[in-house]
Amino acid sequence: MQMVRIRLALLAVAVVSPLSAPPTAEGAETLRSVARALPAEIAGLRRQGEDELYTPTTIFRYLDGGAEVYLAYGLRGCLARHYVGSGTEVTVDLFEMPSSRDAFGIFSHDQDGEEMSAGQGALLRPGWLSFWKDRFFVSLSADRDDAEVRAVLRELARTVAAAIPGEGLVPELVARLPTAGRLPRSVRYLHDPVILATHLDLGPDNPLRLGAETEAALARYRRGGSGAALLLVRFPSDARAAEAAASAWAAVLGGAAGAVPMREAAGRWRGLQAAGAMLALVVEADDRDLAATLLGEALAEPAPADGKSGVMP
Amino acid sequence: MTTIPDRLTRRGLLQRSVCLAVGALAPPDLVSLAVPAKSRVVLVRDARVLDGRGINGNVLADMLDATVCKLLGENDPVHAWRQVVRPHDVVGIKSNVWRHLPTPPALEQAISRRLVDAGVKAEAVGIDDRGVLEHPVFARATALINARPMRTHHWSGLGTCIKNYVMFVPDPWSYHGNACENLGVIWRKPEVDGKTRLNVLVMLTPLFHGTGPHHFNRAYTWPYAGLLASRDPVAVDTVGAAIITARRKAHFGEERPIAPSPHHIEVADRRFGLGTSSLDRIELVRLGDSRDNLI
Repeated sequence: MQMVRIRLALLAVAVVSPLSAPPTAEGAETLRSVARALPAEIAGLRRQGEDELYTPTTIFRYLDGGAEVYLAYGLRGCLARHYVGSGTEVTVDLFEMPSSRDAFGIFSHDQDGEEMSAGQGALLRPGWLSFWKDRFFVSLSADRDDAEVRAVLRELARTVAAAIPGEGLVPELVARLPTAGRLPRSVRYLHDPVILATHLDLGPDNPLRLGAETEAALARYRRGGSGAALLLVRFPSDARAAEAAASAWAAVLGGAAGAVPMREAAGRWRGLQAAGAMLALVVEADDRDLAATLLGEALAEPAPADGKSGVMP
Repeated sequence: MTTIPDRLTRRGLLQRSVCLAVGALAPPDLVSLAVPAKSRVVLVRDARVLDGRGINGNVLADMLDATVCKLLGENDPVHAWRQVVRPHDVVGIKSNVWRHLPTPPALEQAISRRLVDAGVKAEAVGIDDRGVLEHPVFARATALINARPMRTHHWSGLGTCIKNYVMFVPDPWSYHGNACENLGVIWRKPEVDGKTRLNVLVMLTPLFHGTGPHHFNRAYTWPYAGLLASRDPVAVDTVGAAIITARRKAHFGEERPIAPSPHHIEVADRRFGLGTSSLDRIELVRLGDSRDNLI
């Protein structure tokens, strides 16, 4: 059975995650070097057991049911360390991603929780703290939730963040999203259509032709009492963008090419516009003008942005 | 659980069980996936099943007996299980080994015992999850019992009885598209088609919200102390999903739809005809504790 599981995992990586690079000694060493900077004891907790190192092919053994999320962002490796003490167990999962963009993307996947200061953006929820820094996404999971544990998670997060020497850039595509009326914590950055479906339902069969080589940034807006969702996608070529636009016109806008924006079945508005390798899609817009305005703003040349902002946009 | 009469005991339940006519249910070797016009789902709850140290296996076995008796209109659990299987059957118990919330071993054993009580040879009963495609009993199974806990799930919205059969295909990840909407097609594959005799959705400590890479935090479970059972996998999942949805609303204080949408349940009804996903067409029978039923 073990052999079968390994075979399945290998196949899964091939199918699910074209971004995933094979594990390398260098990649493992990067994770280990961060781990070496972590203390054996912290906040009354003591390290338990040896660090566990997972590759894109073995991560299924560890994240049963959740590995695909990380593979969809091109996971390079994961180092897990367990701390125990005072009736608490805390698991530190250190995910190395291909780029800071992908670490940011994983962080943006779940934006619930209380903002706190650690790394380049951190959120604390019951029993779980996550942050990103450079090309690392870090998860701290505790088996209970109270004020004492939250204090431990905060201290541990700052310690782990300090062990990661560099800082990374927020995806440039995210900086292109209009800022006026953008709802707090509504920004998502992704490549994979299944990840998109967890945030925005555009129907089956990947109508926007998303994949490992595409970048997508999603945000929700409210202006003057009207709401809308904007998705901005960058393709590797103009031709790929045109192909996706044709697909989306048919699947998302009912083939009404040229009618921008158009009414959704629920009485709201949606629209699509492509420019070069970029494509903007607005859905769930409460009024036509907002849909049209967001499409225009999304495809306008962006103002220079501070890509190192440590705060979630 | 406030009064003595509300408590579940094996004897009490059996005495109080009503012998309901379920004439639509033909002998099990003829019915399998065929379901009556209104699908019966039995919900049993007993707070004593969570006794502070874990799961009380004796109470859980009583709960299983109560659900199966009520489902099949029998007073005697062995008679009820004889409606589920025949002595010549080879039976695979499809469980779930997700480490944070597995099918309780006590439930697996209780099902296994009742199968043997009903006449199935002990060596003709197998229990497995990830290894069903290689398991010799599953390879020649004539009947399946489907038992798993309900939880939220990264890709399918909910881990359901329908989804529990994803290990019957060698490429589970290929069913992830559009929130795993086509999971129902697996139920039409030869390894499975027509073999399912009973679906048990474990609602002892369901996970109603998933966070983090492990998608699990005890803070998002609650002691519901329930079991759901039905012939109809879609109906039992529909009821389970309604309970999870209600719990999310109660916990978060607002509508918080399950994400991604667990529409594979409705698709299993509409596209694959596996059962009913409409609460209007489900006969929900409640046993035991009624407080905070959420449905």
